[in-house]
Amino acid sequence: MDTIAAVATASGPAALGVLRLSGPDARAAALRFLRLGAGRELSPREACFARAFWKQEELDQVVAVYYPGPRSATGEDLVEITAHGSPFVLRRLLEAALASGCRGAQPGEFTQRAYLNGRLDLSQAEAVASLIRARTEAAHRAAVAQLEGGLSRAVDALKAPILDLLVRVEAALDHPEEDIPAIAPELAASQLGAARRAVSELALTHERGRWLSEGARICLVGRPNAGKSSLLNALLGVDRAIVCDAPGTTRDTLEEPATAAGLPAVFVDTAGLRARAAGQAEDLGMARARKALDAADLVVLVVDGSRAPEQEDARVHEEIRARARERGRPLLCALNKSDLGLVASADDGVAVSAATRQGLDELAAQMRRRLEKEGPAPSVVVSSARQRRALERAAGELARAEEAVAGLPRTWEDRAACHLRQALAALGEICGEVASDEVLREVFSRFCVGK
Amino acid sequence: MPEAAHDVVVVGGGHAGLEACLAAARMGCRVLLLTQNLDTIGAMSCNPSIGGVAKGQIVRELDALGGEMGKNADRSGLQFKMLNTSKGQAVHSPRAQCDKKLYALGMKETAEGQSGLELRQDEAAGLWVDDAGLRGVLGARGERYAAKTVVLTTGTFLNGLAHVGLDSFPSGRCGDAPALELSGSLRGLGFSIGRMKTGTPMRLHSGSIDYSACERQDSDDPPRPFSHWTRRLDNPLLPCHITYTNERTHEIIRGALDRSPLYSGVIKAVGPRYCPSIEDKVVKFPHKERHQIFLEPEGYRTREVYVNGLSTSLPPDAQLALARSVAGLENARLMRLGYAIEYDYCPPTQLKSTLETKLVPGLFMAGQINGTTGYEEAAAQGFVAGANAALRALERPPLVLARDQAYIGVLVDDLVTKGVDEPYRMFTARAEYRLTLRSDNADLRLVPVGRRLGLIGEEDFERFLRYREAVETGREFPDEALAPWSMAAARAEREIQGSYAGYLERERETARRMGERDAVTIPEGFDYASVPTLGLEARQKLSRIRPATLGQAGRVPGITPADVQIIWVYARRAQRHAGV
Repeated sequence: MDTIAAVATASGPAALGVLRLSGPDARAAALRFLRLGAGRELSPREACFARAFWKQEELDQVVAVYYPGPRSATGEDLVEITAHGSPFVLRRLLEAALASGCRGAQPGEFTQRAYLNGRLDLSQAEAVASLIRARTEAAHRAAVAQLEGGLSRAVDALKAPILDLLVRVEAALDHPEEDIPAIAPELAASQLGAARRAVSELALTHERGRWLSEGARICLVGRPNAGKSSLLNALLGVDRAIVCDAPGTTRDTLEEPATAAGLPAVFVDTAGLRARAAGQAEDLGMARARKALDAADLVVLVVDGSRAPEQEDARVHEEIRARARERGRPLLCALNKSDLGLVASADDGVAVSAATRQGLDELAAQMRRRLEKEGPAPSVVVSSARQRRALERAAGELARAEEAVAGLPRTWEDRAACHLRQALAALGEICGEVASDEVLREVFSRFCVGK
Repeated sequence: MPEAAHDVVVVGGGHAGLEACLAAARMGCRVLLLTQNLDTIGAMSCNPSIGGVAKGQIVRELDALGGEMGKNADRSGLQFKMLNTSKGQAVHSPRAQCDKKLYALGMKETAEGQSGLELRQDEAAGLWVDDAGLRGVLGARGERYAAKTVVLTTGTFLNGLAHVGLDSFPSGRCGDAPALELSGSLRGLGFSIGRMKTGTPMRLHSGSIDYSACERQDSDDPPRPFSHWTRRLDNPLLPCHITYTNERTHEIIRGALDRSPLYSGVIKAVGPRYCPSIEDKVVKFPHKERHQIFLEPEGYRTREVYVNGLSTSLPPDAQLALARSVAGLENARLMRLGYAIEYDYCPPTQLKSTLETKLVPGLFMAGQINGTTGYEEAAAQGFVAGANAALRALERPPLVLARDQAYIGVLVDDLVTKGVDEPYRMFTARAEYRLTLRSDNADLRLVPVGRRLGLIGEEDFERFLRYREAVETGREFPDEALAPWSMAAARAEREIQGSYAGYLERERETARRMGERDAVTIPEGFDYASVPTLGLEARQKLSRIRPATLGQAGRVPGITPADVQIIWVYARRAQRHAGV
């Protein structure tokens, strides 16, 4: 194995940034561009003050920690150098490491090494990826629960009744002459159904897991000039969207990650909807807005509350509400421009002013409440698409086992056993018990080191 | 070196030894069968039946490959049943009750009439090995049997020790002498030797049994033969009977446990979990009110009855008392006592997939010496070992059956990859391709393999090819052109395949993917210690078993898919470094 290096913190300016070196040569390479204080050395697991150099030129004052393998995050010798977070400094630090004999790490390579060195099982490795991306406390909690084996325990609990049924089926198949009680098909069907529902339920927490790791998609929609973009900027606290008094300024959808009252969120600003588009660009924008609405976890209908709604307003609002209902998306109504005096009203409306930030906290709290109503926070969530797919596969196998029982109530056992085995194998994949090459490839391509 | 007198010497004339020497001789080798006692070759030492769930499939496979067991069961069968007919076709399993003496005589007759096969009564005292390698077998009276290859099929005879109550005595099968020197010879060659235990029930006089108090179990009628080539079964059919133990039986057993070699600590070897003695059943399942007993006739011209379900090593008085507590057996007269037997075995992880030992090229092992139990398991290994010994002697490529090809493939792969920690018996649950490995398609799966080995005649093979075409395409043939197959059989087979269609495709796909891993070879001397991430236990296991392929490595117990990935990475590196 060679020694790899990469910046391990998110790109963009920050207070601190970390450069990681991993491999047999990590310590020696680090000492080639770090100068320690007199009489100091890079001792195991001890923070050590140093000055970092790039081509004889002092770059930064840093703190270096050396973790000898195998008791390190990657299972091999590891050095973490914490510098000030300027992108320029970090880029130079990386160049210095490369000049000292390291190779630039591929995306996911640190985690891959940790996995290959037996430091992580598959679900733990994925939890680390979530951890890296965890932007909020809630996401952090879910990631930590998974790391501590919460998911493994939940999966074990799902496996138990399936294994139980399989064991009984196998016994009946292999020992017809022993007085083993026959399994009534009705009983098998009901056990299979219960197992399938439990598996599906855990699969559904993936939505929740996705909110935690990627953020809930909160889609702002409404009539042109209702102030969606102003509201987005107010929610984000920065001027992200172009705001203009002219209606229809936003022609494309904009996505911005942020935090909504403790929940990570992606706010989606959309083009305003009207009954008939004025031009082709806007037409496209409106189509995108509708698509964004379909994919949203929460729809915020933004209404200009300072105006009495006209006929077309009412029609578009009704269309949005109907579409959200149809797609099963929760919807919240923001009565914007409350600083101008509210004229319009709505049962589910929250008065807010993007201009004065009045009512903004209340809106965020409502958003959170609506999202949480979609499912009380489960103690364990499935946060990766791979895990969700494995669960769905297991549920599918169980459904097919149910079909076998229903279709051949007198000779269902050998076929159903086949599906039960597959269901168990799929559940086993979640914690890396049975991971095929494809699974690994997918997992590691998703890992982003240096972020 | 002068040319060896024999291509293959087979030591042991049980079910493994006979299949081994018949296969090798029929493949054109000069074969010698060495046995301690020519009167007991082909003996059914324990129960009087051949086949059963998973075992019946094995017998059908053996038959399709050109083995003898199925034909001989048909010759000597006195009851034929298809088990599991209330379940899916994949687990339909044939079983025959046989006349034990007829079975053994049929085998003896076949072996004696086989050209290229010599039979010789002598005890093998050791392997003849010199600096050049394996030279043959040393007889107990100083004879040297030179051979290119040797197949050991010693059953329970290696250092056999029989137990009845607290009394124990050296024995092979009860009544026969044990083989005392051979396992020392194996140890001397560096083999590790383990100890196993099995048991057999008492035999009662049929005239002392009140069958009216038992349930009668008749043969299927008409009976269906085991062998693809048996055209008709002429033997008269006999029934078996079922009765049950009761609370009083259990009390007698509990009261005698202090004189049980199993429960007093005299027997230290491992017995099977799945075929426990009646002592085990009563102790381990104290809440079960009764246990089934099958009363099975041992033959047409003997009154001995095999009491299936009462395997025991309790002392004689307890055996009689517990038998007589059972309904129908109140006046039972004991003819032979049940006993337990401990014997040496060679942990089979010392074998390659051909059943050749890794330690001594040319030496093969099959049957109970590999830690298995059952006539069918023994016969299957005997066939594989005998065929591979012949192929080696003839310098032809080896025979390895895949796990999706035959239960025999599952059996051998399990033995050499996973090893055994109790006497190994086949179950359908061991087969991941269970729906593919059916009794009804054993011919479609394996006749072509038997043909390649030279064990299926040209005429038979042509008839098979027509049958296969009828199955695959639905094409009609006159039955005379198909016999012993028929259009009715072809249509039935098409129907079965249709009813499993999606499943079979899926198993094929899985097998194909697994086959890819089996195609990745691990360099022979691969150093598992160089893989830092493997746990200590995994490293030790892999170093001991030395899997030949990545697929086999993945099937070693306790080896995780992550381990397989890592081995794959490192094995590739090792190959690259070696310039492969």
